[in-house]
Amino acid sequence: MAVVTADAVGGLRIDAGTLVGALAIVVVAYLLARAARVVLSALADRATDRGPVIRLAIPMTKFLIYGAAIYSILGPLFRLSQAQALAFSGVLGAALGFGLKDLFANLLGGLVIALETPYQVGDRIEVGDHYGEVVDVGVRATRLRTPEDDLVAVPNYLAITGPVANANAGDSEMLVVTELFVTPDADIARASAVVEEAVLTSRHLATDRPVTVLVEAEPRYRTIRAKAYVNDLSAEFAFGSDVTRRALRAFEAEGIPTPSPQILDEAERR
Amino acid sequence: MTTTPVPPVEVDGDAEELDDTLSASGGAVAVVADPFCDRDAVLDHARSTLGATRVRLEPAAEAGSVPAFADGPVVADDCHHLYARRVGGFDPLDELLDRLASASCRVVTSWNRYSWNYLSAVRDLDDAFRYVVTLPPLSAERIATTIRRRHGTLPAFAESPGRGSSPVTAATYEIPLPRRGPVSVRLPIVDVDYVTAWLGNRDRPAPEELVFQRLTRLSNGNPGVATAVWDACVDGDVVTPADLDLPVERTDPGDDAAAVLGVVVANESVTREELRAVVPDASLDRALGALVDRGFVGTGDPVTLSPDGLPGAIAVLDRRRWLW
Repeated sequence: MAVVTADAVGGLRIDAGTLVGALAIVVVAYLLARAARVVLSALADRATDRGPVIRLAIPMTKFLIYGAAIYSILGPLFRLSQAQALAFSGVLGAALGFGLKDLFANLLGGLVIALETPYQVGDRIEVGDHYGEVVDVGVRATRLRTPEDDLVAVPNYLAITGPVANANAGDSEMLVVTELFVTPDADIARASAVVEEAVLTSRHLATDRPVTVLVEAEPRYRTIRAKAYVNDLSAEFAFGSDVTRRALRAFEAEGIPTPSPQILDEAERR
Repeated sequence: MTTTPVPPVEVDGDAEELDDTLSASGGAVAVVADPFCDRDAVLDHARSTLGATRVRLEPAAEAGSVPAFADGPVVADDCHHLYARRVGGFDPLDELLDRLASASCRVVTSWNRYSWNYLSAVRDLDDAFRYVVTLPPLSAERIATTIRRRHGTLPAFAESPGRGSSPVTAATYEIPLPRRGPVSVRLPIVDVDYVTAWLGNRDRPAPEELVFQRLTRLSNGNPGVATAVWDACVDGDVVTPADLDLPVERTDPGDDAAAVLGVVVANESVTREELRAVVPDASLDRALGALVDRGFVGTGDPVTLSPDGLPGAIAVLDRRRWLW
C-alpha cells in the first residue's frame, strides 16, 4: 500500500486507507447534514406554531455533524508529539495568515450564528446591502432569498463584524409598513380611516398585534403610514399590496384625491 | 315539537350561571360559539326567561337593520352578519355598539366565535358586553345524548369488521398526484379513541363507547357537526367505529378560495355579492367551485357552510393562519 509521509509535520503518516476513510466520513457527514435539514424543515413546515423553534435546530445540527466528522478525521492523526504540535501550529498559522483567513472567519461566523442565533432559517434580515428571507444557514455562508427571488450567499463573517437587522427574530409575524399618499386638500381623517380599515380587513393581518396609522405632512402631499403585523412571513409583500390596492380603490370611490406620480417622483429625488 | 335543552355554558363576567346573567339588572350579554353549536337553544332560553322580542339578523345586514333597544328586552341572533371584511364594512357594527351603549333594556346577542375573536381584536367588541357566555365542546356522553335525542332509535353497535376492538386503526389520506388527481391511501395509526376510552375506565371499551368517542373527536365536540357526520356515515341497522370516517383533506383550495372560506366560516352564511367584494380581482365562481368540490360549502345564494365540512375547512384555514 502506498504511504505518503509528511515530513513537515514530524512524520505524520497518511496512507491510502486514511484518505479513503476521511473521504467516506465527509460523504456520510454531508448526507447526514442534508437529511437532517430535509427532515427538520419538513417538521417545521408541519408544526405551524413551533416551526421557528425547529428551524433553529438546523444550523446547530449541521455544525454538530460536521464537527463530529472533522474530529473523526483529525482525532487519530493528532496524537502529536511536542515537535509535531509545534510544526503543525506553524503550518496552521501560515495557512490562516495567507490563504485561509476568510474561510476561517466564515466558519467562526457560522459557529457564532448557530450559538447566538442573531437570525435563523425563515427570518427576514438585512446584512450589508442584502435583504431577504434566510433559507439556509451554512457553515461558510448564509443564503438569502431576496424579494426579486434571487438567491444570495452572504459570507457568515459579515454577521459578526457588521450590523444585522432582523425583522421578525424567529417570530412567524412581522411588522409591515404601508404608505399611501393624498393631496393636501384631501379629507385626512377619512383617508386615514380608509387606510386603517383596509389594514384591519386584510386577510393577512395578525389581529393580535397593534395597528398604527400615522399622518405626515409634506409641502405637496400628505403621507398616511400604516404599521401592522402580517400573520405569515411569506405574505409580507402580498399584505402591503392588498392594503394599497383596496385603499386606493376606496379613495377613488369616495373621491379622495391622490397626488400625481410626478409630484411623488420629484419628492423622492429631493 | 320537542324543546332542545340548554347545552352547558361557561360564563365570563360577574356571574356563574346563564340564569345569573339573565336575571342581572343590566349589561348586555353575548352568546359566543362555533358554527352549528346550538346557540339557538341558549337564545330560546333567554327569550322565554326574559319575555324578550327575538330578531334574527340576515346576511349582508346594513346600517339601519340594528333593532332599537328601547321597548323591552331583545334577543338578537347572528349578530356576526353586522360586519363585512371590506373598507366600510364595519358601519352596521358601529351602529350596534352605539345603540348598546345607550340601551335601556336587556339585550342578548349571539355571535360566531371566529367573528367574535376577530371583532374583539380589531373593534374591541368584547368591551361592549358585561357577560360573555361561551359554549364549550361537548363530551362524548353529551354527544351521544344529542344523537339519541335527534334520531330516536339508533342502530345496533358492533366492533369494526376484520379488526375487532384494537388500539390500532387506519386513516384515509387524499394525496394529490399530478395529472391523476387525488388518490386515497389508508395508513395504520394508533386508535386515539380506543386509547382515550381505555384510559377513562381502564377496560376494553364497548363498541358504542368507541363510536361516540370517535364522533366526538371528528366533530371536536360540536353537536351540529356530530349530527351531520352521523347522518353522512351511518346507514343501516348496524354501526361500527370504522363507519365513522371523514377522509383527511390535504389539498389546499388556493388563495382566493381560502379567503372566501375564511369569510364563510366566520359568518356561516354570506351573500354572493358580499363574497364578490372579498375577491374583487378573481373569479368568485371558481373559488366557490373549489370549496363546493371539497364539501366545505353548499351551492346557492347565500353561500352557507356545510356542517360535515367544517373540520376540514378549519384545518385549511389553520394551516394558513387565517383563523381568528
